[in-house]
Amino acid sequence: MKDSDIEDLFSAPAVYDDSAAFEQRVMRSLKVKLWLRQWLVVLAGFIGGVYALAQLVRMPDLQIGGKSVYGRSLAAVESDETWRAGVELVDVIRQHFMNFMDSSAQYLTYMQTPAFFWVTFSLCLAIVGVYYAYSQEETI
Amino acid sequence: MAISGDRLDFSRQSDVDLVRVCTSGDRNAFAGLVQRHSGTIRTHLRRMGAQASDADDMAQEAFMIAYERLGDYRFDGPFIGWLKKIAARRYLRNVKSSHKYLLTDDMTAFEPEPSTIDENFRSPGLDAAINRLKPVERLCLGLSFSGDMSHQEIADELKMPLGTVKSHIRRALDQLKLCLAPSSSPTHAILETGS
Repeated sequence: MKDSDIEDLFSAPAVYDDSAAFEQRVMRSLKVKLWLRQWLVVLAGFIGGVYALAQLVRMPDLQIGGKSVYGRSLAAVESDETWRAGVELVDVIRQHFMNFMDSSAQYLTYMQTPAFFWVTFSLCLAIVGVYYAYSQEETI
Repeated sequence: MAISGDRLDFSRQSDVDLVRVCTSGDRNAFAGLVQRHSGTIRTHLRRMGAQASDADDMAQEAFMIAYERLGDYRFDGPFIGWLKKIAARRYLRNVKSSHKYLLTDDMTAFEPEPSTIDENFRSPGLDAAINRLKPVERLCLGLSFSGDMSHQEIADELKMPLGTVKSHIRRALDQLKLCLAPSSSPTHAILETGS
């Protein structure tokens, strides 16, 4: 037997019973990967848009959820217990909502600081760097 | 392209045509390339030493890398050769990261476990004989004969001296000839390995 005979054996075509299933598997994975990448771009765009909006929208002296706008609660003057309980529940929900808005405003203020900008900018650069290094590793 | 059953029929188009169609944005054309070359790539990976399930996973990854890198294909050689190189590099990366011991030049006799013989192989004689080779010999032979890589390219990829690669391939070929000879017995072939 010669080397070329072995080479011929190597070049013999190979057929697999599950080749159709394999093809479907590859194309499905490809579709999912492209879909995920597309939506990652959309998500990144959305986050970037929100961030840009946060930079543009300035709310000086914004005070939400501080002192109640009402001098005194309705619950304090209402005699009907059921009505009072309902009003108190609404009041509690309003307080929580105002607290949430207040904390959001604090986050918004923090997002406008230079420190936050540099942290996010460095993070983005690091991600781009890692992505580039990975793509170079895959280079043919 | 025609539709045959529930699969598209790309038999009338060459690889170059399909690549061109694919780079213009038609993903279905890539299905044609997968249809045409999946068997070869899966066998190529198995012959280099990958186990069946790993080989299929790596073949899938190779196709996905190829899809993303189609723009890098220069049409200066057969498409399957380019694809085989991607698959080989994917396998080598796997070997270097988690199975580095496979690259050691151990001169003791090697006998594979019976379970590592893959029943899906199409050429039982050849593949059973390949399965009896030492991993590093099998890898060098696979890269040379199945991957169409030159000895120098293999030496560069494996970071081995050129002479070592040549002797691995030589030993592997001798061993294969012994196993594939009409009167050879597997037991005798195993005893000859690495001696």
